[in-house]
Amino acid sequence: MSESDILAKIRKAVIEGDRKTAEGLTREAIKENIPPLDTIMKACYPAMEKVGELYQDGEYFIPEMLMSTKAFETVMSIVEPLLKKEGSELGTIVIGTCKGDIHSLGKNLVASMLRASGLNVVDIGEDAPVEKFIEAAKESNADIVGISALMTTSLSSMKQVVDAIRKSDLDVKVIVGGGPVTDDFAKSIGADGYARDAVDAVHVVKNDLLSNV
Amino acid sequence: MTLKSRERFHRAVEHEEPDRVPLDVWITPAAYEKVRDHLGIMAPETHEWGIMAPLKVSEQFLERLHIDFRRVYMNPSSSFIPKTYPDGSVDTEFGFRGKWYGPYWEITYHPWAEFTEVTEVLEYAWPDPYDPSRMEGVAKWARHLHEETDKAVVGMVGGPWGVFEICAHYMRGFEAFLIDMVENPKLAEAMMDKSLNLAIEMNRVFLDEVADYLDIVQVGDDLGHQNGLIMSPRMFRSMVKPRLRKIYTDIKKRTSHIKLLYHSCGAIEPLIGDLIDIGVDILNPVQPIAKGMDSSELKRKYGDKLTFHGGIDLQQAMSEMGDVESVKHEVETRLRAFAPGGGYILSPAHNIQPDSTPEQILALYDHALKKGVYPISID
Repeated sequence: MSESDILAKIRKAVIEGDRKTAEGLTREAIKENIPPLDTIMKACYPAMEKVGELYQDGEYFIPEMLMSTKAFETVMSIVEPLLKKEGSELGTIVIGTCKGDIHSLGKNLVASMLRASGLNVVDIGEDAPVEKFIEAAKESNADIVGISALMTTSLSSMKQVVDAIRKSDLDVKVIVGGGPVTDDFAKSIGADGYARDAVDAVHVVKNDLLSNV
Repeated sequence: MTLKSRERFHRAVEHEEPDRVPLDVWITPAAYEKVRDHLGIMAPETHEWGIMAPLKVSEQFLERLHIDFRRVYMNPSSSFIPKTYPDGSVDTEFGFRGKWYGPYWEITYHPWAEFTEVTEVLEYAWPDPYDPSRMEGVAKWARHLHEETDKAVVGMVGGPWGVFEICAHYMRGFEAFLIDMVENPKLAEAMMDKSLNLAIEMNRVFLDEVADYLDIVQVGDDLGHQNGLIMSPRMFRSMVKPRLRKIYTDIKKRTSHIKLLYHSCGAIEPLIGDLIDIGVDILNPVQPIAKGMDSSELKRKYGDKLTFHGGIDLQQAMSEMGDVESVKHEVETRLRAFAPGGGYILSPAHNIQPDSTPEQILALYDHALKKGVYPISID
């Protein structure tokens, strides 16, 4: 199989959420000396972009999106260890759901999409206190901090994270998102960016935030 | 002419205009305590009122908010003693465990998380629906509400409200269950059947004793999120809908006079026709800023077959982003869209959250009382 055939098949397996096939093909890609970054940028990223489109067009729903994410994560778990050596990351983002909120699904989808688009993603999990965002951003020398919230009642802790970042000596951009968050709210708490969903998050991070770092 | 609450409710669900729009309340414990203390209400809290977290409220509180409904809950079994685990989580008689995160009791342990085989599901021991302590005092309370008050009486069933949410949110875990639905549908269906059987048995135990005293039975299964459906309509129709139909048909078989109130959050417009098809009379909470849930559009499409319950936005107007004026505006917006011709029960579009101030909460009810008088006239 040619390089482009293998990558096309990985792309298809990720879109269809077929973990087993994706895994076999990824191993084959490595055997064929296809650069891991190509597997990500030419197979995973366009696949997840397509999945995002299918989701936004109402053809895919959460189960299909999750299956694709799982297939994508399978590919990434194989190629990521090889990737570090290449120093190929576009930038680093620390991402977490803020204090008082344990919802992970949206945040995880955003993290996956950003990973697929070539960013180094540091996921600090859910119910994350302000300090955890700050520490992780310092440790990873992050370019961006992403804050997620599902509950309206967590919006005040989202603001606290932004305030703490601005008071610290961190030079990072902040992007926020999640169920109750709006563009206006994001502006009102001083965030640099707002994303409606996982696809939008990739767009905002790559086009607006990273280009200004 | 002032109608009694129960009559007001019945006219509304028969799509006639009563004297005013009936009012109901869903509320979190934290928001309740704030508004109670603000009002200085010290009366005994004798009414079970919890949804997703335990809560008791007083008659005086319900009166102050002009609430036209009272509730009857099935008891948990008295023989079940909850254990507290080292991580601070507490178990329930169904086997899942949860823990408080700020104002929310969130699920931290899913007893079916590791299951791989259908037999594991079949062998799982549910609590006993026939434990007599479940119904201790329940019929007496229901009869009291029916005979000695003029309120519309809502029956809160003791088992699962549906089949999807119990598996996804509580027993299996959300991600794992959605993946089962695609990769291992036999396992997912076994879990939903297991839940369906418990729901039917619990409902029978409850309704056999109290059906005559009820006006509404409240059920539900969350199918939507802010921007769309959790699963595709095709998946819903093949895997979930037939099972919901079984549960709700069984309820209606026993209680032909009762209206079925179904709860699902989120953007569920594409499934509303299906819900009507399986016997839903009242749809809650018609989350107004979820995608495709425009109130006027829903009224136009489904208003002749469905009564709407809820509608008052909690994500902006009633949240810390809003204020008393935005709440009043919100009340008027929903009344204008839903109330004409009856078929509307005004209520917050879920539990009132802890970020709603007492002033916002009182403005909601006082303004709804004032502006909800028929014929609706709002400039």
